[in-house]
Amino acid sequence: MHTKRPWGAWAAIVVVAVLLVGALTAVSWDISVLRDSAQRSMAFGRMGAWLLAFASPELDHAFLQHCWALTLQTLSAALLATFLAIIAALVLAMGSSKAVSVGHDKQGVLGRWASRFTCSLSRLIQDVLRGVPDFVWAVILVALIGLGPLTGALALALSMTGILAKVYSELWDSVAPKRYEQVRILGSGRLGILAYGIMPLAARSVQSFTLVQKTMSYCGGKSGATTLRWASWPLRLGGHCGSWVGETTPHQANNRAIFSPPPRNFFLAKRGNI
Amino acid sequence: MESNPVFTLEKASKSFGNNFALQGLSLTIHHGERVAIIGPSGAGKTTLFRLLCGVLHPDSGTVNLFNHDTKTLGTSTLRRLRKEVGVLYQSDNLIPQLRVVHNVLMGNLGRWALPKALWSLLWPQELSCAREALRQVELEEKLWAMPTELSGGQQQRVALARLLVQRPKVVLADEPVSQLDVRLGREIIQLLSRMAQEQGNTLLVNLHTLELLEGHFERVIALKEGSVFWEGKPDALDEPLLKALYGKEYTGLYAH
Repeated sequence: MHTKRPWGAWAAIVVVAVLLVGALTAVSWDISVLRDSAQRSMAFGRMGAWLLAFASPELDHAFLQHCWALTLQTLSAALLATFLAIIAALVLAMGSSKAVSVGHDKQGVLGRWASRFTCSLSRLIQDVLRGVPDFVWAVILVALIGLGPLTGALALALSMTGILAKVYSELWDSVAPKRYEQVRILGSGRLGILAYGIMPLAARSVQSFTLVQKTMSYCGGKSGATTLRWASWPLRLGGHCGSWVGETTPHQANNRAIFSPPPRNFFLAKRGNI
Repeated sequence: MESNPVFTLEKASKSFGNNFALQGLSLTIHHGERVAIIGPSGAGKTTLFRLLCGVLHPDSGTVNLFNHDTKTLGTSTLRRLRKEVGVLYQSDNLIPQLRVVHNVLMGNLGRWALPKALWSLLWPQELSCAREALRQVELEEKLWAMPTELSGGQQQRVALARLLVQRPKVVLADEPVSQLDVRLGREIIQLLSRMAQEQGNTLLVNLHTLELLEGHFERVIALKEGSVFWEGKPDALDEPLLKALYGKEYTGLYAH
């Protein structure tokens, strides 16, 4: 019964092409900045100023010391976040992986209902954790426990848990059941099958993905910490110079800082404020 | 002894899609018997084995394991019965990412509580038991090796060591030697048969290599197209019977 040529792949290619064309035409692409010579030279001028600013880094002893302290803070926050996220994600993934929570053996009506419910609930929690961006978690946690590296770490851990749990459960579910049938057949429970069969068989991919995620969390730790600082700056300054906060929204302040090269000692001065 | 059936199949049928793997198969295996199952590929041997250990259920008919219908078993009873059934496959017998010691100690999973099983992955429990099992298959020095460092025959022997730790009442071996050469295959079959005799176990082996039948089995069951084609003592097998059983495959079977 395999006499008909399969067209599925071609259908997929057509769908992707249609979506791509649609996406390209749905938005008006504004590249006037690059077309107009005056604007273009200004744009390149700004870019050059940035690059020049990078070329003469601040190597002042106090600044370097400050940077070192902040780096350590970022690293420890990221490490703590990764550790917490891995533990939480393992537990959550046990719920959301079908191979673990539902299993391959027949269950009674009640058991079947309970395991399906656990699976759906875990997947919902995991989606919420993943769907809310880490800086939103940070804002919520700031309100709860105040500013600090711990807040950053917990915020990172929450969103990382969502991502890791999703990937772990998908990787576990993708192991062919035939390969761990040998463990099932020993009369082991589902967690035993997970520990002795599914987890070792998926270990390679789980390990490499966790490492990638850890690297991202270190960058995330950096950007997360920066986000926190940006978000908190107007809040902190609010008491002292309300007029400044009144004049510009944080968003505008952000834009201004991004578009013009930073003044000397900009970062040191600002971090000193926080 | 004869009155104590380990497996009873009554008119069991199983199909995958439109293909019938087993058609109304009925047979009984008694306690302590050593039985070889033979037949051409596609005769339903592997399906039969998976029905016997309760991984698959028949579409119609019944499969009884220690007088329990596998279809109606609850999870806990099924787990309890599975402890008594040891299985050896042609491949996928070991978890390649776990050291030999864990692969062998895995035989205890049916008996160990979960915390002990988890702790054993960090600090192997009942190590002497694993050592003794490996000594019996002459692989004592491979205790801490990774399975990928072992040859195919050594890997099958590690799987046998796991069976020694598990101490099941029945051993089902599904083409355990099809990926080994004849000499190594003979060794494995000898070990299996010796283990069954020493422990008074039931042994069911699904064989593709007929030279290995001699001396190790009391009964031969030949399957063809999903039902029993012939049943009898091993020495009653003769050429016309095998030709009828294997058809086109027969010449290939004796070519090597």
